[in-house]
Amino acid sequence: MNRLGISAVSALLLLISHSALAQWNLNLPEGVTTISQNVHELHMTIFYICVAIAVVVFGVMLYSIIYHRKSRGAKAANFHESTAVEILWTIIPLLILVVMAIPATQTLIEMYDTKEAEIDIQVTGYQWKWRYTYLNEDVDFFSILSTPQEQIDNTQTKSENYLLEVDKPLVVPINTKIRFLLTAKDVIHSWWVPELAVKKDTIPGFINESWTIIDKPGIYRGQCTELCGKGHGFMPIVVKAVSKDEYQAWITKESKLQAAAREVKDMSFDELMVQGEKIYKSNCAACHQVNGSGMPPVFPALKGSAIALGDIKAHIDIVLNGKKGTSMSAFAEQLSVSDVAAVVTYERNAWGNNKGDMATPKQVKQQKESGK
Amino acid sequence: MSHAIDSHEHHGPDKGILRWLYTTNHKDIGTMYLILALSSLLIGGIMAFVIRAELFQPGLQLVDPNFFNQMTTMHGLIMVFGAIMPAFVGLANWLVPMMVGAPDMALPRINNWSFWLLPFAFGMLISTLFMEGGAPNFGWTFYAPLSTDYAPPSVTFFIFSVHLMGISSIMGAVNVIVTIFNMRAPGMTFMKMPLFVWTWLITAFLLIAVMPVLAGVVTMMLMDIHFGTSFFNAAGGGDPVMFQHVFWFFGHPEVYIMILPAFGIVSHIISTFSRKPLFGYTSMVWATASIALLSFIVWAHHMFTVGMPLVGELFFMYSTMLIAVPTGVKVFNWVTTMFRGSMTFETPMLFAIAFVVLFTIGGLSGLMLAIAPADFQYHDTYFVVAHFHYVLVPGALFSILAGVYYWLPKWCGRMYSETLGKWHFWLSFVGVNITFFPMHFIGLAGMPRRIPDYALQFADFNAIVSVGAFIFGMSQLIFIYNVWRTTIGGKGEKATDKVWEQPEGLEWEIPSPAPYHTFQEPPVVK
Amino acid sequence: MKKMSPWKLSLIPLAMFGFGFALVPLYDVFCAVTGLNGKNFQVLSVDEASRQDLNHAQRANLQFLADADSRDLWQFKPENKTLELQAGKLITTYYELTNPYDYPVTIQAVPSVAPGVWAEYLVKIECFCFTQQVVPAKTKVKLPLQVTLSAKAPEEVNHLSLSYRLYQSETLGGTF
Repeated sequence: MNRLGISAVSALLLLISHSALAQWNLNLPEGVTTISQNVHELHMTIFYICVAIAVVVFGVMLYSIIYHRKSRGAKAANFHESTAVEILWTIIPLLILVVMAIPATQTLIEMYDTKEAEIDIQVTGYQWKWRYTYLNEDVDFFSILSTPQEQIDNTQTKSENYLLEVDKPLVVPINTKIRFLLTAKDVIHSWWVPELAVKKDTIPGFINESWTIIDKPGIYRGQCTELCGKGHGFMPIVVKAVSKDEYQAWITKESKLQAAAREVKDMSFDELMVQGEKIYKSNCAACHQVNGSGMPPVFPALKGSAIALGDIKAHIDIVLNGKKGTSMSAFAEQLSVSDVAAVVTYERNAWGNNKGDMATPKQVKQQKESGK
Repeated sequence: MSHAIDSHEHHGPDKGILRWLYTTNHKDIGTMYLILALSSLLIGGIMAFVIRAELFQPGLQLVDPNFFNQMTTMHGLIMVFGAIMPAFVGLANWLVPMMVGAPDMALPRINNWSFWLLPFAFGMLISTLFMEGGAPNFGWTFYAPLSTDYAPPSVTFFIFSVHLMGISSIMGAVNVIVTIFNMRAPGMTFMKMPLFVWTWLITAFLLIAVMPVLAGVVTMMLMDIHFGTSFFNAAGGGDPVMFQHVFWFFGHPEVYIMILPAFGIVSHIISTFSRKPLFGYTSMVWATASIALLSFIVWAHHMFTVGMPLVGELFFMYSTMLIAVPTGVKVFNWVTTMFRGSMTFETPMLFAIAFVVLFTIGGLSGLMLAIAPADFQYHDTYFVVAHFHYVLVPGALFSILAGVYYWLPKWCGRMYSETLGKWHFWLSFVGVNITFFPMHFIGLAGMPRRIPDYALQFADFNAIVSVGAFIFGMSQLIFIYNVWRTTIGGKGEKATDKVWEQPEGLEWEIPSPAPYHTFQEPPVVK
Repeated sequence: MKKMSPWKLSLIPLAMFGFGFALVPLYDVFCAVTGLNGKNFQVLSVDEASRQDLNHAQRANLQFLADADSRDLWQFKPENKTLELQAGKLITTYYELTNPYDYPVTIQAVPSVAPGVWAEYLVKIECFCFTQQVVPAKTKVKLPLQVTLSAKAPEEVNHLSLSYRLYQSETLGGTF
């Protein structure tokens, strides 16, 4: 029985050959940057060394278990000390470690290359979304999980990229050195894209640095890897790498779009409701729920709430500035004035609240600028 | 262990519940520690079931993400501070005096107190589950500012609970050190001490060195939360990364606190069932001491991704890799002890062999994690979860189970059921590997830890992991039944004084079951 | 044999509890030595700064950043996105800030430099982050900053990023 167990483990270790892992997509991705390929190679080298060590150690052990068992009539020897052997198996592992340390150090030094980059992007972690600011352009946006809540709640079939899809991916050019300056608004997050081999913690109040040069166009997905609260599993990262020309075109289009969005224009009630529902689902529904019922006592219901049915100024205020001492954060910085107007209007008129009034973008702008 | 009461002793214990409240007897206190550890194991295990049930399939089925975070946090805290550590303290209480030929621990009243702090500490911790805002949900590593500015109100109770556990551990450790230094039988020099005593002595020094640092870090949290200081808040000139440095300065030695005594236990068992003296006793002692010392200079390998400068990364990478050397020496010594022995495979030996194999796998994945550039890819994924569960479950926990099977006949005078023991072992062995082996692959494929829901490509393996966890968890019931039928049930044949064929050590010189008071006249060790 | 006293032994945990707190200043030393966190810029007086060797040819681009959420609410932004630093040459620039509220607000700016290891080559002569600033109600203010590059900067130091995060006094906690 025991023999079986041990050999099963050794067999398992041996079975995990490179190709088998790649086929099942159960190994580190080789990735699309020089660094990620180096890391993958390093990982495989060390993995094989570890397997070799395991085979030797477990081999000797297995041999003893088979041949040196009492039931076979084995008589115990009495040796119990050998300084020579002890020194030997101190030095050999040391040498193996040196062999491992050399490529590891080389890769690490490559990663810490500080040469200037062509594109600087500020990455800011929020509970629970990412914000990308192109420092040399007028482009700045939030990237939010786009998987519908219904899929998470199992009432809809899950799409192919379930939990790994966002409304607006980070668009970057290939063959260009891109520098990420990472920070966070609230708690520590960690920005990880496996195929770029970039993982860096984003720390409130401090900036961290990382960089990449992507070789191949494509869509690369990652996730937040530092526990950051309730929505930790729901703030994916999607990087879309495109050719330099496509990138230029995108940047031009995007900065125009964003400039237009900054202008305050009048919206009808119906327009506000349509936009409001969209904003509500991506920004509010995680806590207050799609049907406005909340999760009392931590996340109050909006359906029938005193704020949603009360003074509209107070309602706009809580959306803009948050509520101190609760999980309700200030959205003044995350939503445009028309988004705030839309979401407030939606909350006052959805789920049978039917308050009948609306917040206009102008009103929100006026209130935002005049303060409390 | 009512069987331990022997009428011809000078005086027996009090009757009823008072016996346990007032006891200063190391065997009673040891038993209480072990029962507490078992209860924590069950509670923490139920939390693991909740986690695995939620992760059985993609999507949210059973719990909301916030409660999921409470479960992962409490599971970690309870297993580390409530199951593994008290289990080792319980074993130390039972065995250290018997192994060094002392009548009891050096500070019996402190011993009583350090135990009785724990039920209150854990009561307080578990009560947070029923508080408004819920239990701590910031992970057992409680990184600021998630655990300070963004924590639920129950964090204050968590802090006090950690303080109580810390005081208890420190008093326990002081007790162990003083007992070993002052109460050894004549002739028992340091280099004649059994390895379990040695590993515990070193562990105790680690405990008194780092538990106060943990107390310090939670005190700083308390001050940040309630008294307006800014230790971990950038706004007031503090730094959240400093929290991690201070925490891991405690945290890494803590990892070894949970594994060094295991090394001792396994060394005894392998030697006994190989019918051969332990190979390289002296090197075992030195290896343990070097691991303990190195544990103070490797802490930041838990933080390779916080943005340390190159020199920092290199230093912590090299120092961490160095730990593989003394750890390797230990594994080689165990294998060589088995080599050309005359082995039999009773339950303790099965668990000990599984320990060596699976702990080595955990050690090798640890070596991979030490390589900083590769760690950028492994960090905070299921690969890490697989790694530390391999060293803590088939590592620390298996050694505890092995130790209980090994010494139980001495404690209660009866043999456990070997058949049930073998069933327990094989189900645990299979279950533990089905649970934790696939986690390596899920992690490498990119699944972060501490998430309540995951992308579809991780679905198959998560389902397998959950099934394994269920097998592993349920098979522990066999253990509980086996221990119950041997102790309280009074079944099983009577154990001889030696119990096993030719075990080494003073504890085998006394009758089975061990009388309530032992070695009141110190034995002479040649 | 000499007996070990549990009282004496208890001094170790006591000392280690103290050590836990001593790690706070030690950590700053650690950051200064290794460049962790990018807080390690030099602060010099005008005199000291101008005594630096002006003939040093070393130059570097300094990029000015405003932390994302300070940017929206406070319209906090640098006058220039980047400026060229030269060792010994003092550069004066400022950040703009608008108090959106109709009451005065006390703010504290917290700086951070990337790459962190190079922070020591950024010399600050004057910075609005040295002290707290009171911004009158509904007012736009210019917050001054005077910097230069250290003459000790090695050749590869050719770009630095300086970021500020604003904290409002009510979120600072009670330390002030």
